[in-house]
Amino acid sequence: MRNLSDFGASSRWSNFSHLYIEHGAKEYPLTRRIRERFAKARVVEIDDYKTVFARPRQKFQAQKESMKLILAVKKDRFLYDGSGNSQDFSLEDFHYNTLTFNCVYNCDYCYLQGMYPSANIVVFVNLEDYFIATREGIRGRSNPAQPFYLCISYDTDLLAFESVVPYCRAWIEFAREEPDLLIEIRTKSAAYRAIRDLPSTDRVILAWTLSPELVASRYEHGTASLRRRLEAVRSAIDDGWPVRLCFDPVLAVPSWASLYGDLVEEVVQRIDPAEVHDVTVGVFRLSKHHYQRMRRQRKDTPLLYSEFAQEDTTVTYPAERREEMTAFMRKRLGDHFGEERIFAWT
Amino acid sequence: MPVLLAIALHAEARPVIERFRLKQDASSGLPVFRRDEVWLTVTGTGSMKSAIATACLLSRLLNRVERDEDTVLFNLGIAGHTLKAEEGPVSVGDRFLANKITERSTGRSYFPDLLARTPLAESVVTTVERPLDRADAGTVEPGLVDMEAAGFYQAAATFLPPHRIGCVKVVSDHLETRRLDKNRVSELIAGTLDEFEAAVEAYRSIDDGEPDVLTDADLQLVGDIRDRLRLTASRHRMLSDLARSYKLHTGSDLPDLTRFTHVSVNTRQEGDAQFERLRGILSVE
Repeated sequence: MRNLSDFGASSRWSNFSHLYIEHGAKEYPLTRRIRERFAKARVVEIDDYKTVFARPRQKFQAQKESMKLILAVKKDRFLYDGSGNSQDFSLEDFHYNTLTFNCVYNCDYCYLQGMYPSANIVVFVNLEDYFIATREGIRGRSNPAQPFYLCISYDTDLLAFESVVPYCRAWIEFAREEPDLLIEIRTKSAAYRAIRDLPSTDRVILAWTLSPELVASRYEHGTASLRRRLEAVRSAIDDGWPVRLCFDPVLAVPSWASLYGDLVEEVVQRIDPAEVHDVTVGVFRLSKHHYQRMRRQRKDTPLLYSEFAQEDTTVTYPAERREEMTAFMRKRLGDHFGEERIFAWT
Repeated sequence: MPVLLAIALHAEARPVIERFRLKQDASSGLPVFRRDEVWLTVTGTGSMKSAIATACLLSRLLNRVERDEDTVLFNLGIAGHTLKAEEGPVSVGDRFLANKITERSTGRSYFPDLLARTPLAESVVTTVERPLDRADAGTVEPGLVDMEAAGFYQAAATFLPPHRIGCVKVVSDHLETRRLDKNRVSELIAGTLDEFEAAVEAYRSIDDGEPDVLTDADLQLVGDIRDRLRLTASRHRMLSDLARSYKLHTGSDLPDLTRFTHVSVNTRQEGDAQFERLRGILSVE
């Protein structure tokens, strides 16, 4: 049994009380594994995950205190085009997939609160269908000179959930078979140990979101501390993995410059910048639709009640502040990492 | 926090009425009994009647309470069980909280949100249009069979979030279609009331997880200003958010805004000017 603190976990998800299982998902190996893992959970059979996940008037934050696990078969849309709110690293074939809905963590600023009607976790168990679609995507990519870039932990934190759903492991093994695939696995956990037995591969980038400890402890509920994330980063680099450091989102909290400046210094003291694959930077931003829904639910966090501007369909800090914060981070990071390895959302 | 109960039969309702010392409310066209925050309606038998009575009770009460979603609503009643008596482990008198309610006529299923920890075991419930014979037990999902839960749930879910809707069933038989004695029905319900009451309390204790930094007094003040300045709904929302922002970023109570509850505005321009003054006071950037 791994130490749950690796995952920054709380008892909210370490012992699910209920498993809702689609009839069509019952016979999948992952379903059997999860049923064994949560043998005391009550099992409720369902026709379609949406009958539970998409009920009207659910309370996201109330459900976060008692998350249920829904096991389902994804019928279609195994690949999505990368979002304009994400860095594309100049890769033309930038995609993400949704192996699960929702996340075991509960960050105050997380757009999932505005995106999904429920905080319950949906796990799609038909992994092979994702692999088939990804192979097709690789073969049909628009620029054969570049890899097919796929983020598999985009609307979730897969590594944090690896002890329950070993999808990072499965995708790493899949990537070994696909020379034109480049995967990113992004996390706020310290759960690197869950995949540490695997040989590293340059087809998988392990990415850690890093925040000042004050931000992590106050606004990133359930996640691993900064210190533990950096320990995981250190281990992954030592084992030869390409590691991406994500200073994203940068939040306009009081004394943000001091906090994020100190963060950069702490990171470079613990991690040799030369050993880091690349760095991303981005200030807080989300879609207008998600922002509006989040504000209706969250009347208790200052992060959503700052001064924002809307640009097209994106809500973010006003241009002057955004540029100030981005320039600050680029400068501080550029001193250590060099401009060419910094990818910023602006 | 109001507690609403929808119960099909008088024989089922009687022990509940006694337990909570409810009195008949003559002002309603429905059989309604109440005391303080507890309201009970006797719906009659069948899904449709249960839905109608539940909807009537909710629509009547939710206008009275300030925070609709604090309400919890339960259906309580007897049900048959698909297991044969000798098959065990379910016995007459066992009680269950529904975790899935299937309407046999449509095949649709509904799922109360089980966030509360209760002392009750759980079961699926299938709602049928007429009593199910033992010989037809295999035509429904193994579990409880009743005649109201699906109608009750659909009506309730029109008004309330799914974690505030509960359905508790007491096993009365194993689908032997024989008429139950009323006193026996009351006994079965009476025997479950300790656990039922604990379940109700567990549901009442759930926090919706949406705390508002604005207190009731703050919201009242903002509402008074809205009325005085004749703010549009959009402006009212903006003012509420400005007040939240102020409290969240300063960690302080709202500044004294009472003067804005005394001003009078005659034109939209005057209202706009007052609103801008408010914005300046509450701005924390």
